[in-house]
Amino acid sequence: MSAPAAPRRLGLALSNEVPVSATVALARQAEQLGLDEVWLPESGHGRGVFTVAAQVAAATSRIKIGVGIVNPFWRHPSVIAMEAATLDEASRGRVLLGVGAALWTLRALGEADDRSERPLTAMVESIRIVRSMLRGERGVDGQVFSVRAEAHLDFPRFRAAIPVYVGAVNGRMLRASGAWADGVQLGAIASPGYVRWSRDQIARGARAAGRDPAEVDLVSNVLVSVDPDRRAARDAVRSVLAYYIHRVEPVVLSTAGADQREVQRVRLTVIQDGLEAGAELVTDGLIDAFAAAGDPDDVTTRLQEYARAGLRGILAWHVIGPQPDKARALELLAREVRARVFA
Amino acid sequence: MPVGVICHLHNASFADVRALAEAAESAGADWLGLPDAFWWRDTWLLLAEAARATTHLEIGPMVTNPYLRHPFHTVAAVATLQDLAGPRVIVGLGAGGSEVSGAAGVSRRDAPARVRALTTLLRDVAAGQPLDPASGRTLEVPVQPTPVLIAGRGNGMLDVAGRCADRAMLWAVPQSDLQRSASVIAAGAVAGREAPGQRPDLVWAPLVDHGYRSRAQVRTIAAYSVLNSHPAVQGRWGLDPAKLGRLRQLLVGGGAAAAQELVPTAALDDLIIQDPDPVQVGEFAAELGATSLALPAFSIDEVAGRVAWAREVLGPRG
Repeated sequence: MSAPAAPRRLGLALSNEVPVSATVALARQAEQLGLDEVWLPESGHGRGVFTVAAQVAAATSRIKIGVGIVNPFWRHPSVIAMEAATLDEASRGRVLLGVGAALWTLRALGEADDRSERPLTAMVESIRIVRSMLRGERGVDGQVFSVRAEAHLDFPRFRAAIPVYVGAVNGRMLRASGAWADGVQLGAIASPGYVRWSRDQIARGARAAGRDPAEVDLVSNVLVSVDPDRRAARDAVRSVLAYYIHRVEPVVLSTAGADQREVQRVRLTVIQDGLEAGAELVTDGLIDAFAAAGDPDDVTTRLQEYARAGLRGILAWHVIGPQPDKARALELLAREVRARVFA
Repeated sequence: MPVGVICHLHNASFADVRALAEAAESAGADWLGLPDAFWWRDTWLLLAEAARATTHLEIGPMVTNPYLRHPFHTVAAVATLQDLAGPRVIVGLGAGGSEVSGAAGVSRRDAPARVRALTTLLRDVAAGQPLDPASGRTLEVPVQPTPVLIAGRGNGMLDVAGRCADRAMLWAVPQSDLQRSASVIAAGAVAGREAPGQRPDLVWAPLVDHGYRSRAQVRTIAAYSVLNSHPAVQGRWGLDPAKLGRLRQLLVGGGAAAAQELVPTAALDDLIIQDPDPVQVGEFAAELGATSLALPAFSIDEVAGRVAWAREVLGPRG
């Protein structure tokens, strides 16, 4: 018998790049509007994601709180277990824990080291350590990360099993996630085509490990910009798209069904002439391939495509709307888009 | 003179920390330190709770270590806490307990150098310098200058405290080793500071048995202190490497009660001040050169009494 798939849901992926009070206010609004999840990233050396998530937990009561992804190179996996269990207690069981190798970030920051040269092993061992410590099991002897038998979480866990999501991009990591993780979180500018490809990779890994692919949840950030002014909403994503088209792994671009000549033109222009010049070359076709941008009808149609591609958790990410104040766009998304996407 | 409270509630929960922070603030304490104990609840999350519960108490990890989190990550955690608590954040640094770093497979051999590097990093970034001068990358959130307290028992850590800390803490150091420890800090200050006479504030955190219900916890702390005391002092107590190894094994495995049985009476007498007379202790503190006192809190209802006792010890200085 197949495992039941995770429910389809709409959440919000925040930047964690603004003062804590602003992040908390948006998370609170998301809960009041009935959104299901709010995710906070750890993309660089910014505000501590677990501390900020604890503030979100204190200010909300229902919405699930996704942390991620965090990497095991900035703190030992046993510390990730400690932080996650503490947050799970503070939030009364609302944590979704994302872990990932964060290779792009580590390389960009010049912090990749011997351990991060073995991302797959590091990731699998991190998951094993986190899970074993949450369950109260003793000792994991790994090649990259180990904990001795004496190491144990010395306080009661709210849940012995916090869902662990892996931040994965390429096929190898996606397949390993299918074998090991409770879920996968895809990253920037995921397209429906990339979601479909990822779903297949995860399923292959799951089957090879004797698991039902339906057991593995799939969530992704989706570049969303919604506004009654369709043009303003679409224009608002151009520079973000140019930046990420320049930055993401090739597989994210090649699976999107986008015109690859347009993609390459943007990439090269960003590299040679900067972001602004690249943004001017972002076509409507590229926007439609990599984002859900426009008026509520446009965004609904696009998000339906993501859902049909197999995405269970759609995380509205980055722009949300063209106005600096995101509250109005969030309201539009919740009231005019959400119900129709999952109808 | 400042009086600090160091949380020693076992497995302090969010509710415990909230109550403790409120009790410490209303008792007139100046700061509250929360342990970064592996693997208790995460200190930075608990500190955020303490920040929410208080308005003027200084708060900070007491102590965090430079090993199990990347130094940049610790700087970011400080910045995040400052976002919640403003200028009330202090940072306590130490080597990390030998028993837990052992469990994570971490060697603490270079602890003094690492603690010094983290102290320098915190100050440099707060002064607007990049996280890494070579690449120029910066912290992505603002961080303000914050007092750094360094605690230790070994010569290396005491020396570093003298060289670079704003506050140096002697926590549960045997009475027979206090003057020597203070002199190592003073020598570090002479050797490592540009301005003559400049030295860190000396925070004395004695292990005091007030006869409260917390007597058993006082003895547990003594057992940890025995493990981390200066080798010469351990030798005087008659502890050889085999006995110390057994003690470490018991403490790591959660056998604190059994560990206490291995602590020699001479060590307990040296580590614990019994029936403390505030006048006598005050004279001793003055002789030591302590400029502030810190007291462990084993239960919330003891906090007011301990803070009041500390004020008596400091007398007119307090």
